[in-house]
Amino acid sequence: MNPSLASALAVFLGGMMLAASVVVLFVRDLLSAIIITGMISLSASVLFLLMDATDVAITEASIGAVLATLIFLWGKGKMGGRE
Amino acid sequence: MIRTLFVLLVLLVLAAAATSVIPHLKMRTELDGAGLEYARRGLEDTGSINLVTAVIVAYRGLDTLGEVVVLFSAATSVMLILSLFPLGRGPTDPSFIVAHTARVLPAPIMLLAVYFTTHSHLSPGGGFPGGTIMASAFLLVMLGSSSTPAGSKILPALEALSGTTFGLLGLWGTMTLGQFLNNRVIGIGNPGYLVSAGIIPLVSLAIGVKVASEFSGIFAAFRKSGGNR
Amino acid sequence: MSAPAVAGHVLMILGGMILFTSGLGVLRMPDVWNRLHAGTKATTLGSMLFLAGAGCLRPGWIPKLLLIIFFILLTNPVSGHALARAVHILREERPDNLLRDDLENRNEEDEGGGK
Repeated sequence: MNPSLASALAVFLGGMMLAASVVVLFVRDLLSAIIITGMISLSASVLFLLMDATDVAITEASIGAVLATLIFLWGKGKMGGRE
Repeated sequence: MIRTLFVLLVLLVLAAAATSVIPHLKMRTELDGAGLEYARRGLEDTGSINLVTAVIVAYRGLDTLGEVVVLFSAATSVMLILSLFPLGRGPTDPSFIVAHTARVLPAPIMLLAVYFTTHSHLSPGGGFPGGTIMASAFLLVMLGSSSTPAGSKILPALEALSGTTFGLLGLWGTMTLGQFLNNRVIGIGNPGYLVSAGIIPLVSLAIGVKVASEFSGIFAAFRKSGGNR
Repeated sequence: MSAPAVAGHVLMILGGMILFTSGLGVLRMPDVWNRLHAGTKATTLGSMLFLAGAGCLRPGWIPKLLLIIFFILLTNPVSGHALARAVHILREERPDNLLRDDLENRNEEDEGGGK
C-alpha cells in the first residue's frame, strides 16, 4: 500500500480507538459498551495488519474482536436486566 | 457528576503523562538486541520460516506454557461459576434457516482453523488463533442444534490430553538435551516442508486443541446453564 | 484509463455509497425492524459491489474476492434473519402498519432467546 495512505489510515484508526476508549467510560448502556470494546479490538487488529504483524492481527481479530465480545454479550444475556 | 469529573481528571493526568513521553520516542528502522539475534539465527536454529512462531513456540515456549495455564484456570473458573449459579434462560430451538446454515459453514471454518494450526511454522497463524476458530466452528454447530452436541462430553479429556502432550514434549527436551522444550529433540528437517522445524508443529497443534477445547467448554457451559425461566 | 479500471472505480464508489447509506440508515431509521433492513440488505449489496470493484482493479485477487463474496452471501442474510427472530421473541413491539406476521402463531414452547 501507498505509505502515506497507510500512515493516514493508522492515524485515523488510532484516533478512533482513543475516542472510543474515552466514550466507553461514559456510556450508560452495557450493550453499547460491549460493542464499542469489540470495535476497538477490530481497529487494533487492522493496525497490526498495517504494521505487517499478520500473526498478531489474526489472533487479535479472532480472540479480541469475536470471542471476547461474544462471551461478554452472552454473559450480559445471562444476567438479564441486572447491570 | 462527581464521578464523571473524577474520571475526566484521571484521564487528563494520564494524557499528560503520555504526551510527556512522546518527545523521547525514537522511530527505529533497524532491529537490535534480542530481536536482531532472533532474526539472524531464527531460521537455522529452529527451521521455522515464520519467525513469529519460532519466537512464540521455541524461544519463548515457557511463556506460552504459562499463557496456556492462565487460559486453563480462567476457563475452569468460568465453567465452575456457570455450573454453581444457573442463570438466565435455557437454549432456544434454532430456526430452519439457522439450522441449515450451521450444517454447511463449520466445515470450511474448521478447514481454516486446522490450516492455521498445522502450518504455523510456514505461514501466519498459530495455536491460539487456530484454536479459537475451531471453537467458533463448535459454537456454530451448537447454535444449529437444539441441544448440546454429544461431542462436548469428550472436551475435558481432549483438554487434558493436549495439555499433557505439551508438557511431555517439553520434558522430552529436558531428558535428552537437558533443556525444557528444546526444539532439536527431533531433527529440524528441510525448512519449508510441512514436516520440519522440530517440535514446533506438534506444540502448536497441542496449543490449538487445548485452546479450542477450553473455549468450546465455556460455550457448552453457557448453553447448559439456566433454563429456569 | 482502461475500461476495467473505470468499471472498478465506479463499482467501488457505488459500493461505498451504499455502505454509507446503510450506516446512515442504522443511525436514522425509526424502529428496530427498519434498522435491521438497512444493516443487513444494504451492507450485503454494498460490500459485494465494493469487492467486485476491487476485483476489476486487481484481476489477480479475483479467486479470494469470490470466496469472500460467497461467505458474505452465506452469512450476512442468515445473521439478519437470526437477529430479527431474536427481536421478535424478546420484544413485544410491532410496527403499526403490520399486515401479516408469520411468526405470530409460533408454538409458545420454544420461546426464550438464550443466545
